[in-house]
Amino acid sequence: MKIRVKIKHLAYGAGLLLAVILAVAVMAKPPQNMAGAGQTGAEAKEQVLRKIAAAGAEEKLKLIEEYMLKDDSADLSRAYDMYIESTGMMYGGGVVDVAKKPVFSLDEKLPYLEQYAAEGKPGPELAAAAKLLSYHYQGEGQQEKAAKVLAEARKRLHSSTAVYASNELLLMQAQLAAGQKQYDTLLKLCAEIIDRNAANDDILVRMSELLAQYAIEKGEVPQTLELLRSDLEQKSSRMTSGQAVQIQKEELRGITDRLKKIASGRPAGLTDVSGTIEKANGEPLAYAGVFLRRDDDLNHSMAGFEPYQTITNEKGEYAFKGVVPGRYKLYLGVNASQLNGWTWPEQRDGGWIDLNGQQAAVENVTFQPLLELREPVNNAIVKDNSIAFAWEPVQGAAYYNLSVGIKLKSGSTSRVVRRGISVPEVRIQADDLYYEYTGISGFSEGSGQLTIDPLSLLGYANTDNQMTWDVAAYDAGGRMLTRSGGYRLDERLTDRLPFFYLKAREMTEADRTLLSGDLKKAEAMYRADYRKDPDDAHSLHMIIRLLQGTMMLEGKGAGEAEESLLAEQTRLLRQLVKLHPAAWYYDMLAQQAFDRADWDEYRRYDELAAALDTSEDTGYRDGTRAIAFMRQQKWDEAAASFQKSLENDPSHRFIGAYIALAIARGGPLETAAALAEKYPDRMSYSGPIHWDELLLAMKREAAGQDGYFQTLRQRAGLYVRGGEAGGDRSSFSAPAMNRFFEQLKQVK
Amino acid sequence: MDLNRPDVKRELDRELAGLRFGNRQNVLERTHPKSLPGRLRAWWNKELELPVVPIGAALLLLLTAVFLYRAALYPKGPLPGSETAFKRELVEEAGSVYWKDDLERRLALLENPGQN
Repeated sequence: MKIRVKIKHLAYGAGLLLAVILAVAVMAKPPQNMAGAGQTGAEAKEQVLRKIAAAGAEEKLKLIEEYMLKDDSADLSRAYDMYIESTGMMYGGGVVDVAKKPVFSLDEKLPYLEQYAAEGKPGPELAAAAKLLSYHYQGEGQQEKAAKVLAEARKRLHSSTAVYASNELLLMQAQLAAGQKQYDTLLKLCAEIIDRNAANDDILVRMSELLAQYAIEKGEVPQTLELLRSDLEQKSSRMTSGQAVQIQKEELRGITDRLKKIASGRPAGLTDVSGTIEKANGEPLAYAGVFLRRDDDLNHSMAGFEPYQTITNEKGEYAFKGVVPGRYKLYLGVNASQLNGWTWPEQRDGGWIDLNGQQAAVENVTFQPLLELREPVNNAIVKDNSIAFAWEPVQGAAYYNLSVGIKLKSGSTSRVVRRGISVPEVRIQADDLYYEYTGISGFSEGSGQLTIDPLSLLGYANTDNQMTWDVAAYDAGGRMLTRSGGYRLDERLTDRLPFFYLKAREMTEADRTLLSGDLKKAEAMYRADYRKDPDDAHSLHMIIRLLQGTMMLEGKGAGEAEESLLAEQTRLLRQLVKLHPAAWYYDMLAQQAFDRADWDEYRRYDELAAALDTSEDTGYRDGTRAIAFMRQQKWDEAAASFQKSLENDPSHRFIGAYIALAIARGGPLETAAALAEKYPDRMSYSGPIHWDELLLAMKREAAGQDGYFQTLRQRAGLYVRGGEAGGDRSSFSAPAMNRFFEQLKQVK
Repeated sequence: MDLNRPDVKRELDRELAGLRFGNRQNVLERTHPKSLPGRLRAWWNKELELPVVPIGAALLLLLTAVFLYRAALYPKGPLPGSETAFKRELVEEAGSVYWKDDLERRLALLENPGQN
């Protein structure tokens, strides 16, 4: 089939087609970035504000609701993108809603929230508006206005339909009253809360917390609290398990402990905690969430019931009035864009706020610009026998510490591999890194059976595993100035990723077998390799690692099998230190001698390890030495070593043992309690141990019980000599004493 | 009408006696153009005979190719102005906090430096 067509008609047709294509291309541009194509945040905000200004009364309130009052905007424990502490994000990661709606600061929202609080429909949004306004007024120091806005909003809420919102307002009012020391108001509000929430334990516990503040301040327990507490105690014995109940119970125990303390005449007053959160360039972190978290709360996620939560004002200032004595850490709630390019420089064990009744405590945070790394970066492959690390110098830095990390099956691990580096570069021998210690970790798959993670066994010797590194800079006084780890949330900050591969060695067949998961076969292969070449330090190292893993899986106390494993490990370790001396091999040998109570050998290996150990933190070594002295009944040497450990190690992990020693030597409980208060235990094995509270509880327990102290001393004596701490369980009831010795088992 | 009939022929000759054809040149120029505009006009009006099937098939192929190219170039994203929020994930690596998608894109780029 053919058609006849004139050239001119063909040309007209082609022209028309071209016009159509052009039109389509212009109209259907590729999708642009959200938030109104090409629009800046400020423009989007402007647009919304114009829309609100132009709307009718009802529509206006709807728009305010939509753009300024998200469901959880007044629940500080949920309103922010990130919850951070000095060591990083609170959770390993988080999902952030990158809203296409513009985000208004509290300051920008202010007039609209005021309008909503006055005219908005009674509901959760009204409560949210009132709470946000109250935070704002508090930040400006207008406490009365802050209380008034809550009271007025609550009047407008129907407490029957908006129970939750109404309760939140009531509690916040009570909190304000407690902070202002307006105890009459507090009691009135509490009466109302009890009236309306007889069955709501969560609210009642939170309220008891406020009443406890009052009790501490006044030095007497209000009747309401006494009644409430006994009522809750009764209930709590009937409460069934579950995390929420668990937390409530702990909360209740904390309150009870505090009240007992008041009753036993040891009042410690309330403290006002305040400070400024800002960046090193002077820019304040405005309207960030600030959370003063109790040590008991640190092992669960941020929760609405935690008592000390607030917002910074536009100058980055915050304040908590009347904080109950205890140990706290500061956490912040921020939005992703707020900290881009900054870091919170603080050591892992630092950042504790101890309140012992002082009038005021100031806790400032200054974010520092990130330290930038030079090389090796971006998955560079290092094949040389040494790795040259280099980074940008930091002004005022006296020294730097370098950490290197590896990936594990679940998570990652990182160690400081070089300390006190005086210039912004350092060369590390690949061999040193290959023999670096990694903790052995296990993981369980489906079946629930624990398996050793081969990545943790092979550690830094795995040439296929991506390594990471980071650097921290310190001043001459040992204060951290800044570090490379921080918030890197745009492209400018991700062009030098601190990842590399170390391929100076060839992996052996045995290594590959190990990585494939066949540990038994791998062990046989390492043994064969070592038999062939008695100088093969790597195979020897790996056999010892595998033995360690086996012992970890089978657990201690496996009897003869364990003993023969240990004996073999000791023999191999003695060979290995000849080939490749390293601090942690000597530490293992010292530990084994310790377990055998072979004190001469323990001392010899411990000194060899100390000579090779570059760490300036000798807290752990001194503590272990102290326990060794204790076992040898060298009390004075033990006490001196404990002192040294406690001064050096901010975690104070050996304080429990030191207290036991003091008791065993006949010291009064008061002296022990003073020690406990001076060196709070921050090890937090499975929740913090409050030795001072335990000691006070024992003191209360002792009252009227003959022979209590004798038994206590006897049991402590058994413990310090290394015997089973259980000892004489005695004829009288001593739950606090039993708990004390139970907790002592965790000290190591 | 039979022009061979002498009366008809005569009559016609008489009626057409006043008419003379004076446009010969013009016609010749159109049928056998010699000047440039004439030749252009002839080309412009030239008739082509086109086979429908091969040309149609070629056009169809071309359109499909263009469509596929565009689809590959701009994968379908959320429509502009749509109100549903989108989510990004934060991850912690080597002590730093990154956007997960950002980090993954960087790493992919490092493994495959050709892509952009």
